[in-house]
Amino acid sequence: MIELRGVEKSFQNQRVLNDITLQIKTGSIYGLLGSNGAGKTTLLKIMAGILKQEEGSVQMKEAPVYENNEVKNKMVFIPDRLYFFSHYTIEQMAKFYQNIYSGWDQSRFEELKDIFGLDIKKKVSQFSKGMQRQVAFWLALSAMPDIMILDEPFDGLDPVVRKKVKNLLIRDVAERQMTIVISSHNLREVEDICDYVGILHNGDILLEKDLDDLKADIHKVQAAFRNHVPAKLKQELTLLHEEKRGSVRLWIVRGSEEVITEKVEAYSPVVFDLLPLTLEEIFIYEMGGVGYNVENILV
Amino acid sequence: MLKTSSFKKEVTKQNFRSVGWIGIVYLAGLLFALPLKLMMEVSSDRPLGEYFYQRGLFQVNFEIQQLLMIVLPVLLAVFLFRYLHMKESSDFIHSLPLKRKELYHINIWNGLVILVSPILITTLIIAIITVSYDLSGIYEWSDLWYWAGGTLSYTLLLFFSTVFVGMLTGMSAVQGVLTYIMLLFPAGITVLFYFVLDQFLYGFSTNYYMDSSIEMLSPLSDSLNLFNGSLPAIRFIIYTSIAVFFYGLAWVIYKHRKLEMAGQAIVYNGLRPLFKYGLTFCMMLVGGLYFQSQPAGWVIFGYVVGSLVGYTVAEMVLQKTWRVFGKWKGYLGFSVVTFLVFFMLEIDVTGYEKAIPEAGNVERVFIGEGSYTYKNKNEMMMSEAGYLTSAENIEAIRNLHQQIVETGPPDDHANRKRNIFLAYEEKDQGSVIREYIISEDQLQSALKPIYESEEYKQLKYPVLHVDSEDIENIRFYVPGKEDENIVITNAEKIASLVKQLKQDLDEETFDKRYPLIGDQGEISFSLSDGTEFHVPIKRSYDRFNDWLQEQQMYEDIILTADDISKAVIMYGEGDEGTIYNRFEKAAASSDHVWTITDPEKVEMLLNRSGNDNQGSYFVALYYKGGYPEMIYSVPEDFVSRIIK
Repeated sequence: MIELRGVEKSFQNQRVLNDITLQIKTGSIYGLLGSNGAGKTTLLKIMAGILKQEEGSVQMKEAPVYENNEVKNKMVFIPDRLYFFSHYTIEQMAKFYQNIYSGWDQSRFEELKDIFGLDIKKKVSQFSKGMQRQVAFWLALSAMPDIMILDEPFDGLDPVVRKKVKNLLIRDVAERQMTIVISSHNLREVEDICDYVGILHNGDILLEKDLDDLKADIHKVQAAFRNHVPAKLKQELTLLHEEKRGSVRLWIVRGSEEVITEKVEAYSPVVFDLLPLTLEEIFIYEMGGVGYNVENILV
Repeated sequence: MLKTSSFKKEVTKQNFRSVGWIGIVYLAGLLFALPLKLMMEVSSDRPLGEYFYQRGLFQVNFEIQQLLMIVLPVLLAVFLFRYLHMKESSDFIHSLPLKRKELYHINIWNGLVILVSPILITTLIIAIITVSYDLSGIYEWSDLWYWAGGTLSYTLLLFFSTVFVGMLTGMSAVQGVLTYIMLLFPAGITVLFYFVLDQFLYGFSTNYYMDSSIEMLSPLSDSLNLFNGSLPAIRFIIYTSIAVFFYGLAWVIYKHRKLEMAGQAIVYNGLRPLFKYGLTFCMMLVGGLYFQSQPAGWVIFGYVVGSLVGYTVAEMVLQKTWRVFGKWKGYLGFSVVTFLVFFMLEIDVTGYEKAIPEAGNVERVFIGEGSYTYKNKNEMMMSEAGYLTSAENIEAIRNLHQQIVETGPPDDHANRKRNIFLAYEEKDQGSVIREYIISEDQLQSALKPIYESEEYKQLKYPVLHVDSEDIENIRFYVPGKEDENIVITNAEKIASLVKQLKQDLDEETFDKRYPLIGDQGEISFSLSDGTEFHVPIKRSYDRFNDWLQEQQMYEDIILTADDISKAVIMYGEGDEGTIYNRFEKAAASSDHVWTITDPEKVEMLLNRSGNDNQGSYFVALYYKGGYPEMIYSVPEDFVSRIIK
């Protein structure tokens, strides 16, 4: 469990984070979304124990993370701008990690070699940017962390590798309850992997949601009725949004699948489709209510 | 600590991979500079140590040693802590399960191993050479310890100074530059500060305060004293202690360092104004110093330009952009404060310029031409330099001082300018030190009573308090005479001459203090203990001249018109530096060149004071004996009397 309470941070008298409070459950994947300059990287670096917050507390497993080797030993941070020692080969970097992280699993490292298929005798600096990112994941996963903090981790990865990395991450989450925090400015990039999402804007957490709840709780309904749209039905459903497309109505409805289906079918619709919403659509409808224009916040 | 460093051996490995070469360069450099050179000496045919001024291992290839010692520790510290200055590496390293304390100590230990082992290995090798060969002509065991101690303490000091500065800055280049500036700063700022006082305070003796002791203020300039071993070994302990202090201080700063400041010139906000205005101030003083010998307007120009440059550069470094032209408010504040301080110095709020000690407080006054003789009293006394203690003289000096203050500095054309250094030593152990350039012509009335006092004469002519029995011989050095070197060894003659001369000196008046053109040569008194005193030969010393007549030595010693083949007068306004060459060519032209051979006129010339530089005419005396000609300047009215 990662717990942030009232975290504040300023750079040279400029406030970057205001009073951030959030909780991340063990074994979950938390997506931290926000536009450029929202403070995502700063928040992640504070979580990783690199930067020190001016106010508030950051705890992992009920212990502060800053200057705490025990916590950091089970945590790996992959920054958006990667760093490897100059002239180090993958093998040498692995040795370094092995020495530093007590949980290092050499057999895991060997196993991942087949998956990533990179030459461990080659200097990391000679690899392309995307390959270097794979090296970073390779090393991080071999360290067998309980927590991974990833800053824009999929930048520069092609779709195939992206899929491969996501699968590896999900496997660790499923198998050994690893917790992951992922930042991204692109919702679509992480919606398939995250189960929690928080939106950071101008140093504030605007919104925090469990995606399963969200997805289960909000639906797009397309329905057409023989004569007219029954007014009673509209009252029974919690409508967030309505559109007319000819005789077909498009509704965004809050409620579980079964309840909505039961209610609509009671009025014998001619056409009835119940569709899941993309995460982006959900946010647009949810946040529209709070008064934000999501397109401005999430690119 | 050793346990941690061995535990995180990969960090150490990484350090050695990236900076180990510095240790290798250091070792190679030291081996090349010392053992190799020593072996060359051993195998050569010439006598040992022939090329060394004195014993000591710093004598051997000192330049190489100094370069290694001053550059490598700084370079090493910069590279070791470079990870703090780059955002990527700083984030990476600090995301690892390594506390700052561990990181700091691993790096420090690694650095120490890299720097200290070359010194130890070199010491060991030299020790082996010492046992194996006889090199006592070059050094002894104690010199080896001195060398090892000196090299070690300097290496540590530079290393830890750089580590300390590295914690304050977020840029490696700034770290290197700032380290050297910091180490030079105490000496540099003192020099600049004295210079400002000299500019604003009339009578401030820069020379008195600014001497070799300033070297001590900076370890860098002090390191030059390793060469001849004049740097006391206690300083090694002091430097090592400072290194240890920096080691601790750097750790405290590192502990509180905000990592997000990587890439900023100054990491701690509180230090930014210090850096900004410190640089502005220093550059202002440097600017003023550059125009030091120019008129006041130029000096002010120097201050303005210097401070502007300093302020702008500081802003550029802090803001990391060259477009800082909107940030002038701080400079305005700086200018106002500086102007007020300078203004207060100029109007002399402390009363420094007018302060003349109360006669009742003064124990004695030192008078001399400069501070050197005051500070080096045990060395051979120059003429004049010494203490005046009589109440009349103290009063006379105070009066002179008063007049100097009232008159102000003499202008460029003032006659008979000289330097005068005064040091009042007060009864309460205090002292008042002043130094002026005065024109003796302007201050005759004040100088005369001092000059004519017996006490002063004793200083001016130390021979006055010499017992003639202690004089072994008297020698006359007379240029232009056939025999330029006449010696008297007869004790009786010595006694009678000294008696006559002492009386002449006692009675010498202020007006006769300078030798005339014809007063050539000097009398040298050699004492049995080896000391020598010199008195100029003057034709105004009546008793002395009579004595020479009696001894029939007058012709041999006193220069007369007979000794002069000719005198050439030339109009020579302008550069005096080339006047010698112009006399060489003078024969070719006839304009404004007159040759005098009439003995009467030559005599007139000889009786002329040669010390006033008022003239736009020059006269060259040519000796019959072939001695090189002497050139003096003479005023126009005098020339017109001679050539009419």
